[in-house]
Amino acid sequence: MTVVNNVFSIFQILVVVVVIFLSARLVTRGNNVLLTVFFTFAFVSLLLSDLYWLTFDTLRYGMRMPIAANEIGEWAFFLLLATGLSSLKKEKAGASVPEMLYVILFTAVNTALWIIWSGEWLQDIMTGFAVGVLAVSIVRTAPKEGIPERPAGPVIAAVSTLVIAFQALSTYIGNPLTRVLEYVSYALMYLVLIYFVYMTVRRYRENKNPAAFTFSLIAFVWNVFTMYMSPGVVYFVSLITLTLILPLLYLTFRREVMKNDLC
Amino acid sequence: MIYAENILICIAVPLFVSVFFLKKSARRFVTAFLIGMVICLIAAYIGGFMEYVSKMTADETAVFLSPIIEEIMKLLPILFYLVMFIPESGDLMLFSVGIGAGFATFENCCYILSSGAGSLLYILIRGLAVGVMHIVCTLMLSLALVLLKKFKALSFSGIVGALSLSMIFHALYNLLVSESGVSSYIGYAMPLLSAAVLFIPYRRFVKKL
Repeated sequence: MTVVNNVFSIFQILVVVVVIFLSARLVTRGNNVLLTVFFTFAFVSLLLSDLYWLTFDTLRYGMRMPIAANEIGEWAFFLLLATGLSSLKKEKAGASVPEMLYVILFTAVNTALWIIWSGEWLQDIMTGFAVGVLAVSIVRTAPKEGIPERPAGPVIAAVSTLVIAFQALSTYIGNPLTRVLEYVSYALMYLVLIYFVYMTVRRYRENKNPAAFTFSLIAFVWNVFTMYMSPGVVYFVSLITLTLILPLLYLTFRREVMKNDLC
Repeated sequence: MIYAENILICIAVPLFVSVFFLKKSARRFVTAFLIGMVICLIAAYIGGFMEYVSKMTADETAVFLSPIIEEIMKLLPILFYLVMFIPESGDLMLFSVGIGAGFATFENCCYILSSGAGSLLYILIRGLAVGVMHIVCTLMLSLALVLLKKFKALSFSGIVGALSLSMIFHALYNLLVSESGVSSYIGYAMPLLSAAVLFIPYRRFVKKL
């Protein structure tokens, strides 16, 4: 399992290095310096986090890790990306109060589940805070036009509530039915992920970029929630999908920062 | 055992006196350098206390805890300077480099006194690795703060994000050099390579801010 994990980490490192190289080139070319620099910084954090994990696994395999420093890199990634997104606020954007409240509540419940599963209070609260800040930033900066898809919004909210409920049930009640519900929750998570990726590609092709960028960010954050909720093989699948979403995130980001560029 | 406070006094007093005879950026840099040394001593106190409280070994403290404590301690004076004095971007960068250089210098002084300075090669490696690492960390931190200030996006999440970036960089360095062999060579090279990479945007981009 460790070898497989390391192979996936190396794959992710390669993808992240390419994204850093490409996004760093946009710093002097794009029209949103803050977003470009913080997007690059965020990916540097992700790279350092991956490298830390790989190094620890190679040098100190099986040894105690009192503080998971690689998670600090993940916090940096979420927070720096959220900070970069603050530059998009000036555009026609905004979210309703119920949407914001739902995102905060969803993150809080997820954080509670992570604490129950791992017992790491401080680290899970910090991770929850960082992911929550990014999720709220995405909702705040999401353009009204094209996002959210009004009929799909409540459906996604309902599905994500079901996912949480099924996960909580399978945590506390250990019988065959809750086991089935747990697998149903994974299926639901991936269905929602597929929907977000599909919408990203569709909006990207239609050249509706603020929407495409927002959908790619939502797909990314949803993938993070999926990954943190998944054990074993399902976790590795999430890790692969997360790595595959990163180039998509870069492509939509590139179009966002170059949209008024006439050259 | 070394008497870190005495070493600090010995190095700091001439620098402190020199501050009165310096002007503008030179004075700012020397002051930051002095603060960096004091911060290093305080970080060592806190690290020792945390090691005792958390019952970690000295190795675990160095690899896992020190990066967090040291980076938070380095951030505090930079943040204080940013908020209280509202400096220009260049002044903030200068102040940050001073903090990093002071911190690294005092750490190296204590290390040399406790472990000996017999091997010139090892001393060179330590100077180029740890010395540059602390400067790179504070430079990354201040670069992020300068951008946040410039674009009026200074926020708690932005500051914590920048702090986390410097923490993970520091933590990776400490982890790499904690084991002998190839990993330590990579670790020693990492700060210099990062400084070279940071130097390009610093020259091209930061000057415009």
